[in-house]
Amino acid sequence: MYKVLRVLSTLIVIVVLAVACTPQAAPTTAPADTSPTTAPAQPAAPTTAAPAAESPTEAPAEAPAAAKVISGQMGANDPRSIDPQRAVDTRDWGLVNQFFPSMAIQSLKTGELEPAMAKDWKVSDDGLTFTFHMLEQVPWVRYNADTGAVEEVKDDSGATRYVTAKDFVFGFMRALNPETGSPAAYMLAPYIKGATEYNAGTGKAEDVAIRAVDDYTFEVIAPEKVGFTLAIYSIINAKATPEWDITANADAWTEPENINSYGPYAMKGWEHEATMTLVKNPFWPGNTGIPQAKIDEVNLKFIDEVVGLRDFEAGTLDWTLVPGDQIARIESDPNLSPLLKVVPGVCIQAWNFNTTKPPFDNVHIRRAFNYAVDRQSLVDNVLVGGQTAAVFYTPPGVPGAPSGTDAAKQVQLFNADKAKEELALGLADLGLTSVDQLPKVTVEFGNAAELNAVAQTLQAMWLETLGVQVDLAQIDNTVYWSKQEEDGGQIHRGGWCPDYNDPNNYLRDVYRSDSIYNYGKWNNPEFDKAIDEARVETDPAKRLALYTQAETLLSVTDSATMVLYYTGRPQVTKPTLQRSYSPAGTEYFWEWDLTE
Amino acid sequence: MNSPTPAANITQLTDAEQALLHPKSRSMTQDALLRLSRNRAAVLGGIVVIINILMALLAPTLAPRKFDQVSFTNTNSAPEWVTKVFPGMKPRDAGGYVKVNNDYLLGADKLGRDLFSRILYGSRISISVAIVGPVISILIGFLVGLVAGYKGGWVDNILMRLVDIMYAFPTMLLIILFMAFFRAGVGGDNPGPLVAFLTKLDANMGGLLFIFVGIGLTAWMGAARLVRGQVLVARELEYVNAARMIGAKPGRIILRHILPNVIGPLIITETMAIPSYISYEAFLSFIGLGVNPPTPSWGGMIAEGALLIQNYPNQAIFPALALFLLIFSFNFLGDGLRDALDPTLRGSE
Amino acid sequence: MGKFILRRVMWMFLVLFVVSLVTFLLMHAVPGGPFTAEKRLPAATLKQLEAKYNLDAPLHIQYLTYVRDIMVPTITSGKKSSALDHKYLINIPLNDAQNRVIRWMDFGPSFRNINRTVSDIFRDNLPVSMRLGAAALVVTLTIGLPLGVISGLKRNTPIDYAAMAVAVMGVSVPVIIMGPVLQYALGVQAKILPVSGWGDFKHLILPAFALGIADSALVARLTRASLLEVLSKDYIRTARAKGLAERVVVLRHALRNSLIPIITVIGPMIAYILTGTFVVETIFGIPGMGRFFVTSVSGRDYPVIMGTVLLFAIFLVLANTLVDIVYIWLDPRITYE
Repeated sequence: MYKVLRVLSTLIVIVVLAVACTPQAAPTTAPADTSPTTAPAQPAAPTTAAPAAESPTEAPAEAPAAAKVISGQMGANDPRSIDPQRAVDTRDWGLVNQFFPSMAIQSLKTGELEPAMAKDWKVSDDGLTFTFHMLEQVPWVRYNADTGAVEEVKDDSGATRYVTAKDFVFGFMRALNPETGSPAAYMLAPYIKGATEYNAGTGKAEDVAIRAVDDYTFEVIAPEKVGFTLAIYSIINAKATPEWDITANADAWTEPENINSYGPYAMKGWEHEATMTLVKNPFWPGNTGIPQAKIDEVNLKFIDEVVGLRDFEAGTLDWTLVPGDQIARIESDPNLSPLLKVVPGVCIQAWNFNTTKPPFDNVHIRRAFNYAVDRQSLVDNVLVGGQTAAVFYTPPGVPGAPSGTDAAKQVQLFNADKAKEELALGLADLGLTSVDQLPKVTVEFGNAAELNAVAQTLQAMWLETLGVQVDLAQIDNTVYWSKQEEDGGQIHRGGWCPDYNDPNNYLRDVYRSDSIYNYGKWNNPEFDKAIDEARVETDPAKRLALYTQAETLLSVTDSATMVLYYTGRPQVTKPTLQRSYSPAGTEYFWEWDLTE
Repeated sequence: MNSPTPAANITQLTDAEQALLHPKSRSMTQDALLRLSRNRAAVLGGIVVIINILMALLAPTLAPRKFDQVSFTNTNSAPEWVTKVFPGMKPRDAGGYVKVNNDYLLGADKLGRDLFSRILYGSRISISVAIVGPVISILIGFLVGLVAGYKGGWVDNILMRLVDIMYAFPTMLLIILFMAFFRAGVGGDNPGPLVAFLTKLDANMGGLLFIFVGIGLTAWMGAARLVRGQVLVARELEYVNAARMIGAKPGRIILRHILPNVIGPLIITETMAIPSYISYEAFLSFIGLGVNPPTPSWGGMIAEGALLIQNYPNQAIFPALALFLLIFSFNFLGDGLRDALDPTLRGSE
Repeated sequence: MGKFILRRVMWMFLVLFVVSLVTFLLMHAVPGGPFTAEKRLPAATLKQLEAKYNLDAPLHIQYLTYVRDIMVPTITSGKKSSALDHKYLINIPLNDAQNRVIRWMDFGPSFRNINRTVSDIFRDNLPVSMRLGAAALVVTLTIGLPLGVISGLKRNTPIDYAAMAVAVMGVSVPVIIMGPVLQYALGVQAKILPVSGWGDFKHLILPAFALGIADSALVARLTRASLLEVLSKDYIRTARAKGLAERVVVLRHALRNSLIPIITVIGPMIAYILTGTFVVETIFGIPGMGRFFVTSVSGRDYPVIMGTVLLFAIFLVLANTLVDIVYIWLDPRITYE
């Protein structure tokens, strides 16, 4: 009997030990660096250096008076990756920007590109060759948990590693290398000569037109002249990445004990699924686009906004997103309402018709369904979360988008009379006498609460205006998308969050007849022609006209999709925190400051 | 296990009861019912369950509105009394945020649908999950346990190892996998005839079929173990041996001797499991894989309302209260039934 | 005794084999893969990713590779490698000249958390769930057992009804209501406990209570039922007849014997509670294992699905073995020879 107990307890101890046996998370794993240098004299002292202040909720109270520490809510789940070339989610891209600035960055105030890692840049007269002159002697840094300070990374000979053009070449090539599987490669590749072939596995690395002219001059050649090429060269995977680090640590290079970075913030800690702590990088020299950080430490909590708001109200968070349906309560609360800000988002929520499936192969039926949806009521009464009723697919915040112009204002998508008219026309086309004879319509969507509310609203509106009863099918998200890839549902949830800020990304990348995202299989050569021309058009007025034409075709004339609303980002922030607001949620922490 | 001693406590009964009872001729069912009727908690539980079932059946007549009747002007509105019960819900007139509308008894949800009507209709899903869940698991479990216990030997060995292995799957993960797997057929172009039939049936049941199947497939093992254990015990009992020797058929032995012994423990474990069946359904709704919208279920309403508990507590609390009452009643009814069916207590006070 | 252990170990391997194979087949049968997403990947990228993770191999090869990577230990030498440390669950450095390390159990990478491995998840997130689970178990037992004993002893009295009402209340208020209410009352309003987060003891209180209370109802009802059954047994009557004090009868004889069915239930309960709970961990922002049981399936994160299922199976078999041993202690008549 006791023997059994002994053997068993040994077994259990082994298992527990195995579980608890952490990898050697010591600073020694960093690549062959020796003598850590402490920060040079900088405006602010290097961080709190208080390893005891582990708990993010307590940090504000216990940190030394000089240090500025903030905590906030940053998405419900752990970041999927903060590797610039492999990051997937928009939220994660915002974190990547803290560690690895691009050559340029879009200003939140003006929407213009401002220099970040580049001092300046030159575009050749033919608009194809881009030459970036980089900031010099920006060191690669890492956080040293032993000294509690950010330090420069040294190479094997003990010299400081500086961010050079070679690091950018490595980063760009890594993004394009098919073996990396970079999800954003499809955006970068078409705008670099030779890159599409290399990324598809048919071309050679040498033929990709990227090179380091010297240590601090980086050159890229585009295959054609397009208005937004410079923005593409600043997208998420177009960053410098540390080759030595990735070689040594493979997939684990972004762990806090391994990561080398150069941006305004360095990574102090990352407790997976719970928190990430950013610490100011005193070595980042600052630039127009990304100045030096003012806040010493940023604690990010990975909780959903429902819990985030509760934490905020308990006083433990400095900012959080807010669930849409809490806005009414917050607005009526005298303490909370001044802290609320609803930032217009960059995503469009639109539900597509499959234009090859009856009855939606008939344009009148599509228009009838489209005209029957009262967007304003959906936004004001049901969603109540800071969304805006949409007219065109591209949100108004996107430079060069026709939304918000006079042409857009004339478009009236909800019109019950017109809906009935179109329904009658459609039925006549199909030789039917009543809506009951229409083929059964099933609306498909993934498992998210917001989609559920939208689908039920649409269902009710169609029943009310058209007398058509549709079925709803809420499906596991992954099953949903794999089904759409195979064959889009009669009516299925579409929509788009941008990869870069241009109408081209919303329209051509999604609805061109050969786009892989065109699940509704809509095909209109006129639309294709308009967006193809607009892509390379440099005259803003002509471009706007082309996009107006394309948008009208998409959502009105052909009714290939029902644009519903633009997302909003309602959030509350403590009054002591001075901050900027990013429409995409990729916050610019280096612009934030804490006042008393 | 004691053999039944029907006359043991007969002297404790009142004269009136004595007169009513004819212990010798009383059947097992009558006996059980009588004892059940004396358990006040169980009777109350039974009444609530019956009311719930009636509610589910009569929902279309009782409900002031249809469960999917939306009203976009009345979204999230609440009657005055509700705003008084929940002090946080300040009406708009008083500088708050709640739209007051006394047309709705308990308030309206985010699509302006009547909460009261949805709770009435929602009882259909919850009651059927609470009843079908146990029934499926008892059916499968009874069959497996009976075969294993009766046959013994390698059959028993294999079946019981199967039970052990089924236990080793994390239930939630398995149910989600099943649900994703089953539901994948929706709207597909060329499903097989069986898949097409099941998918259609599921759609007609508002997505309930696959929830039943998911629960059934993951919840029968307890019952199987219990039944097998009781069969093994019963097999060794003298009166069962005697019955077998005088040529009683297996069916009769099962019905007369084994069933009475296992039914008590089965009922108590299954009534204990009812909350978990309902919570499976609520959980599936929580992650968006529950019954198809707009069909209401209490679990789904609670899951949706829980997100609003700070500003519109009525949307979660009322369905939670309904669920609470139902589970409460099922538990007391279950306890009463167990006591009533317990052969060792048969005929006793 | 040795035979018993050997049988159990062999049994565990059989369970793990069947469970892993069934899960493997089932998850591959569900449509959509780990790289299916709202933003679909171009075909070429997808192909590269599938090749990188060996997903283009035939299913049986994938399964065998998976099993091999877990089972077969390797010895690596040379420079310290953080990547390998993360990849394998067990890394034992030999501290010799070549820097050799024995490495064992590679559960594969996570597709969803791109830079992490399943071993990382076990290492970082499982201990959190185990701590929370242990605390919840304490709550379960300290509430459930006394409640059950009291109502069992005071059968059919108001005390019994009250105790059972409390117990049933615990089980019939869903955690998705209980959690937010606790957070709101004690976190937002009273500000005595943190709303969410993990680290200190005070972070543990609310989630452990929310998690433990539901199971305590089950324990209470089982204890009551089982105590009632035992109290009607002959040897208890004998003990009473001998004139032993009621307290002694209950504590020494009845309670001990009535524990057996409770232990049977607690076995699987331990496995469930220690490997984490999705809802509680989500509501309280706790970095535990529980979420992986749900997110891995919805994200088709194959290695994580397999990892969590295997983990659960191991916990369950171990817990049941433990239960069997406790049986021997509770009832000396039971042997496993």
